[in-house]
Amino acid sequence: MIRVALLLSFCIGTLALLLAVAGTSGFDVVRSFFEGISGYSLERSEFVGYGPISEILRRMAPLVITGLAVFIALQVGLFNIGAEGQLKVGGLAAVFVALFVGVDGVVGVALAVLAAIVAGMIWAIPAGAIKVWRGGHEVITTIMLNNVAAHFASYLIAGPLKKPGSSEAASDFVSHSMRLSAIGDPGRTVTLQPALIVGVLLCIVAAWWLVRTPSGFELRASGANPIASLFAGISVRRFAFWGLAASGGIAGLAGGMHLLGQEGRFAEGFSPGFGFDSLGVALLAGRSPLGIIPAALLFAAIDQGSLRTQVATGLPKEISAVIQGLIILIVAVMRYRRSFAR
Amino acid sequence: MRHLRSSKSSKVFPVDRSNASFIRMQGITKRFGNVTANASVDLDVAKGSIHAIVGENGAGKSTLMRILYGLYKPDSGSISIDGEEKSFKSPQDAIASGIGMVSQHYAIIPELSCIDNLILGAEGSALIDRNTIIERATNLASALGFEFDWYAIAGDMSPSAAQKLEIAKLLWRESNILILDEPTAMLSPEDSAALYTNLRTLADAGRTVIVVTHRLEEVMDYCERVTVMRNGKVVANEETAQTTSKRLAELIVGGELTFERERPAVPGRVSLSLREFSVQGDRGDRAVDINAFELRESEVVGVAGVDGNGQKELIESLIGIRPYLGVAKYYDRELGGLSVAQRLEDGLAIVPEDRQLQGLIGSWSVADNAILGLHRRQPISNGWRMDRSACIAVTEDIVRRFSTKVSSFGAPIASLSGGNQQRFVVARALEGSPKLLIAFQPARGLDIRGSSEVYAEIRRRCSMGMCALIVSFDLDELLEHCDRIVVMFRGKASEPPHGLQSDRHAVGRMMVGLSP
Repeated sequence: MIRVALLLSFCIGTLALLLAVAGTSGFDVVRSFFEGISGYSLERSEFVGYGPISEILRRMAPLVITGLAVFIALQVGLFNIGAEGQLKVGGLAAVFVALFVGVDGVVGVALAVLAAIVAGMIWAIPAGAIKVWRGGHEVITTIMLNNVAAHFASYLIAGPLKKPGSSEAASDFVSHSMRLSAIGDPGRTVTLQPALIVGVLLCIVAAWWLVRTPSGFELRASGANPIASLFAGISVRRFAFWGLAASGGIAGLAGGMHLLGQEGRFAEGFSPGFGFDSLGVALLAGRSPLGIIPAALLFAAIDQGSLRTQVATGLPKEISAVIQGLIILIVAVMRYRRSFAR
Repeated sequence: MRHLRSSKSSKVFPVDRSNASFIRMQGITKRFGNVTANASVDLDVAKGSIHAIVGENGAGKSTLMRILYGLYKPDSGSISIDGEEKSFKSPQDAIASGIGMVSQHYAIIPELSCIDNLILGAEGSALIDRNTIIERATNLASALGFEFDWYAIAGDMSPSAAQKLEIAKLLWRESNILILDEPTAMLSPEDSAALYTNLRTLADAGRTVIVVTHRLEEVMDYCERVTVMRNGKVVANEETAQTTSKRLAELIVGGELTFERERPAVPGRVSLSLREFSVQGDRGDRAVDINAFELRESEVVGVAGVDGNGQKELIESLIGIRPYLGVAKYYDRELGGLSVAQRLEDGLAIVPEDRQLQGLIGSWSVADNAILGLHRRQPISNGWRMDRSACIAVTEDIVRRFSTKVSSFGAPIASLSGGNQQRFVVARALEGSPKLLIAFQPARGLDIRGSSEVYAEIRRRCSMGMCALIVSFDLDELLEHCDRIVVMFRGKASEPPHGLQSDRHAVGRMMVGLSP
């Protein structure tokens, strides 16, 4: 709790500082930021609507799932920079199933989501295999696979997946029966993405599984000290391989749900960098997957608030990336201090 | 081989150069929380002498040395070197005053070459002139009687060579005061003797040496004075010529040692049998090449040998993380067909060589480390779920076995002292009634009491049907606690002939490849 409070005060403080540099009034910026994330108008002293909160939760959804993907890989001691690519191929697989397999409704959704998971896994497996059998560094291989995924996606949406007769490089929209629409009434209540519910549930299950089951224990051990794990009879290579594959699968799931829930089609700019933001989310999460939820909320809120701030004061919204970067830096510093302090 | 250890009569110490003490620590007190690690400790060390500090784990020896080296700041007390009052804020200050320290865990970077390790941090200038440096380094080494292959990768060095390199590093930094923490823990008797001969040369040349050790024979044979610490206080400060190792042992534990060795039980069924057994080493060599070996129930067998003669490879292949050729039967099953996990399940237990690297997960809690390796056993796990209360019960059992001192079960295992970590690792291996214990230096870093407790428990278990294969580089330890000794030399295992089984010199000769 102290950490979260510290971070929040820190980011508000930094914000004020940065705008002083940018030449806007600190008060205006803080006020518009607050209004942007809360939906409460300070000027009129009244609650305007649930829009901003719903928007934050919408932005959170892919971050939670992808954050969990990166988190699982971190637990086996691997840095999955490839979540971005795995998310993209997950989206591609889902849109392919939705458009071309010809099954609709619940079965269609299940099939599309399953395809997304499998595609994400397939995209992570080469990196896992190279790591386990050849010792190639997963950071390098997953970055490379990101590039392959990006270009592969560009090719598909300009070619085979392109909507017939359209001049835009994008796939067709999937049918309405396959859309995972938000729960709630946009006018009157907060709306929730199904992907967010799935993500939060997955984090809870993962938190339980990692601590309370022998296989979760082994997975954490294999990442924390692979040599001691070998001596304890744990198959470290198997966990490295399947841990990365699972990470890819979860990232693929995020892509599939993002497609069915929010985008509805695969176009250029399908992911504004969820896979990279999720690295920060997973690092911020700390020891438990439950930490992913507030971390993703923080990131989403900063993004959302800075949008409003840009409209109100002209402060570029890219400032949010600066703040997120600073937070990660601060957390890293705090962790290091703790590990060196005796 | 000339002699394993200089005999008592040949001990000739140079005359004290000055009566005034060179290093004087007075009234040193250091508290960690509510633990007083040093309580008003006085230490006087004469110039040009080898001074030993002995005591149980946790007696405050390492704390005192870390204060002298500037790693800790004392709560009160003063330090003076050569009559000059000093206040060290960091090791840099201590190094500037000519103090150097070799810790128990060597600070050598395995990926770098010897010469790079030697000069690291003390290169002397921004541009490194290789030829000049190699020349200077060679001069320095030959003055010590050392020889190094300067371009060899440090990670490939034997422990004794690494120890020598550590000492050379201190001299490269022009240290006049050398602090060595457990310098012989990893060395064979011969290398230990050679090390002390070198230290003697250095002391005769005017350097001052402080040795923290558990081995009283070394103290008696090579040191002029000894300071005994117990519970953070100095309990005695004696000249070795005026004392005996029995008296020192009693001072260390504060009473007489009353451990009795269990009588060897009659060996039972064959537990482990090796035939035409060979293991490949990391460099593709034949690291282990054993013709025949048998270990029976109730036996405690010690594997003696200088480090690097195949002990590591033997142990690794028996526990299943290195393949072997030939026959290795564990009861009626071939070991090679079993994974590490299956071997553990079938009653094999391991005390690994390096507790921090191979035995523990430093960032994890005491409780999580307690079940590491036992985590698939009943009642900790029913196959898919772990039982919390069973985990706690097992942790309690392990901690209680050798009275490991832990602040709480949730504390990180890395916060335990080395001795407590070792007790913990051995106790964990003995948890769940193993049938075959494979232990690499089970008493590593333990004091006399801790070591006796560990071996007494191993022997007690063996009297009840367990058997143990124990590798150690400390021959005295093995001779004291094992029923039988097997010597490994260049991968071959041989037993001393009948009648010479417990003859220190015969076994010592076999360790370097001579006939007993």
